[in-house]
Amino acid sequence: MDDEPDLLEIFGCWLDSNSGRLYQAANGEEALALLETTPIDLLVTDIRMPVMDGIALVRRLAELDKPVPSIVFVSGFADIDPREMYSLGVEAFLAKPVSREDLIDVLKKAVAERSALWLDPAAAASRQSLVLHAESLGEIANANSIHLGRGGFSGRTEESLILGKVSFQCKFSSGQPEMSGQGIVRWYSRADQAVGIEFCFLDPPCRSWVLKEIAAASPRSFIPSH
Amino acid sequence: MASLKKLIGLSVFVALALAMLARSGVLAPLFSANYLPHRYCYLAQPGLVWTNVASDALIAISYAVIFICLIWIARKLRDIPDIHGYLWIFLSFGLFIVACGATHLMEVVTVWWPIYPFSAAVKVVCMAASIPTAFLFAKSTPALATSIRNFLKMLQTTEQQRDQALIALNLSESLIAERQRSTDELAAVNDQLNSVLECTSDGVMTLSREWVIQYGNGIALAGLPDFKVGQVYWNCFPTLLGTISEKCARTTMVDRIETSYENYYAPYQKWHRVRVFPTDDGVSLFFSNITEEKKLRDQLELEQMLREKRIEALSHMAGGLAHEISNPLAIIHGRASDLMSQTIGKDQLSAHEVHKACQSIVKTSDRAITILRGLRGFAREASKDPMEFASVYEIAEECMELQQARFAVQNIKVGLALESGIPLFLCRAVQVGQILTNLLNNAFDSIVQSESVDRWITLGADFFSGEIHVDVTDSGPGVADQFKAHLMEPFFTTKELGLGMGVGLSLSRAIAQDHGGSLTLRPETEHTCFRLTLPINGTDTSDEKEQSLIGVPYQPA
Repeated sequence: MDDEPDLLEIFGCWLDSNSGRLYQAANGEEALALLETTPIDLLVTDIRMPVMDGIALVRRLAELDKPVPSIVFVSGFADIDPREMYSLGVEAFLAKPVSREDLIDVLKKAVAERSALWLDPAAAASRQSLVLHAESLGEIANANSIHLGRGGFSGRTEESLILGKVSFQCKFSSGQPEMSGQGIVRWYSRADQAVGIEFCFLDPPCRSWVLKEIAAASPRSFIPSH
Repeated sequence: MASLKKLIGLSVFVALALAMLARSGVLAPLFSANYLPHRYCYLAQPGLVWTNVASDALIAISYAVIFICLIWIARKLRDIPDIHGYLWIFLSFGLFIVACGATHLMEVVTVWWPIYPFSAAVKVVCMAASIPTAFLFAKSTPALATSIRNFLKMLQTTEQQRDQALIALNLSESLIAERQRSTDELAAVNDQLNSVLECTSDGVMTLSREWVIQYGNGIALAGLPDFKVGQVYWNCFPTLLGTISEKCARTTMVDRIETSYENYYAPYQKWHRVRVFPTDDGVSLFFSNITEEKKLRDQLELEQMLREKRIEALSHMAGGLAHEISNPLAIIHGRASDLMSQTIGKDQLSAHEVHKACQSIVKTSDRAITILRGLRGFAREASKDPMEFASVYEIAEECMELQQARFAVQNIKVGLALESGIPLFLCRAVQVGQILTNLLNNAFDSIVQSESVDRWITLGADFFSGEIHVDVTDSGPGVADQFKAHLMEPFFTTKELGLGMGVGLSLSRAIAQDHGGSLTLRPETEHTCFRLTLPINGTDTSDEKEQSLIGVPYQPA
């Protein structure tokens, strides 16, 4: 979805050769109408568009009691706070201009089954590591628990973090097994002492039960805002 | 010594005279056996007679002298309270002595004149005086002794006191000397202080606790000709009453703390920075003339505001620009990468397809360049630009181009209604552009904030009797009546928090006035309409330069 016909044409051309059925829309309203009638798995959208922009569309989708497709923003400028963006279900933000390879990679990841993800650890060790102590995994109502999203989690920490790669280890006082792996800090709030981390790799001992948890809860957020 | 010599001389003279008298024989009958005035006594011996007569006479005289002395002493001592109770002793003793003297005198008289009854009466009187005197004297002696002892003790104490007083006096004399020295030094310091106060660039004034002006240095006297030392401060400067000046001065006077303030004194058209310090007997005021400084500071503040306004406007546009530039770049990037991959692969592109892709790239780059051109000049300080001829069409179109993206995103229709034949006019084009951008921003915010269905902005321009009118009209809800009066005031805003600082209109108006024009909200129009009026031979009032160039007719391309 883009208000730029040339870009719709180019992106359309790129995606068409990668299978699947492709629908195009010039603004949020058109996309919304399309979503009403057609089951859509993946929504790729610009942010600034006339009539209804990408953010308004995503907020609207979050309000509707319908399954939300995987969403990827492709825009020149992020008018939206990443914490809200990931919480609304957006999986990734790509800055224009974007290369064909990057776009295809991100979209493939977005539509992939969870079971196919987070299998390979990064070759280089992360510069920052984080140990989170929480009561449990899951319950959104409990501020002291780790909140799980479709592609990551959020929690509380007193440590200072920077955006970027991180190796994490979550320990639960409830007796649940440890959750550990590698990820990317997508947002960090010093004021709230909260952090949002996207999964890149899950350690084998925890992998299967974390996937089960995600499947069971089927969260709308990619990373909950906490 | 001199009196002793005189006495000796007198005695020798008397002895010699008596010797000569004795020798001459004049005195002989007095010492003959025949010389007896009466011959009842003294064995008829002249020596005995004269010895008695002389002795009695001298005793009588001596007693009289003693009496006079006693009376004299009594008179002198009557004021002393301790002695006052014993004055009678002097009197009775005196009477007794006089009476005694009188009996001796009678002894002499009766040698020649036998008035023995009178002599006896005198003796009775003498007895009558002496018996009570002796009695009373004997009775009072112990008390008198005590009194005398006390008196002596008192004298001693007085003496000690006198000594102490003398020591104290000495001390105080040295103290006085010291004080005199200090006073001299103080006077020197005072002179020095005065010369310092006279040298300082600050005006200095001291006020008593009753607000009376006690001192004013030369600067104060020269800078504030309305006051004189000795007058009440508030009478000299009545317009200060009720202002911050009064508040600060009273705070310092009452709470004894330093205060300072800046004040515009209308009668002299001067700005002063005043510091008020508590002193022992009132307050002192130090004031410096900051009129020039204030002028510079105000100018600086205006420039600062303009800068902030520019930053605000820039951040408004930053998002739009990033989007507007990144879209063409994404297209160019996409087309180019497609060309790259497809010119090498199996299914080669036809010349027509390559041409089409390249055309798209060129067209899109041109779009990006146009957007960037719109930015030109906006991000820089323009108030020092020279006044140059400019076209209202170019300025309006440039502003519109810059804003188009934002308007499109919010689905706001923009219309240009520019009359033809508007001549070129003298202005700082960048500043005029800033005013229009400001007005467009306000129109935009008003429409977006109101979420109205009717969404449009019109930028119109026409030319009428030497003036260019530029109207910016929007479909927003209009300006509420109660806000109209404050609209052009700095920091007044009706926008939502975070949307604006409320300086845009006031600055825009300042710029318009700088050009010899005006910026007003047009009354009685259906929609909100701001009118910018600019003379075509714009006077640069900022430098008070007279510009008398006539506008050149100009036809837009």
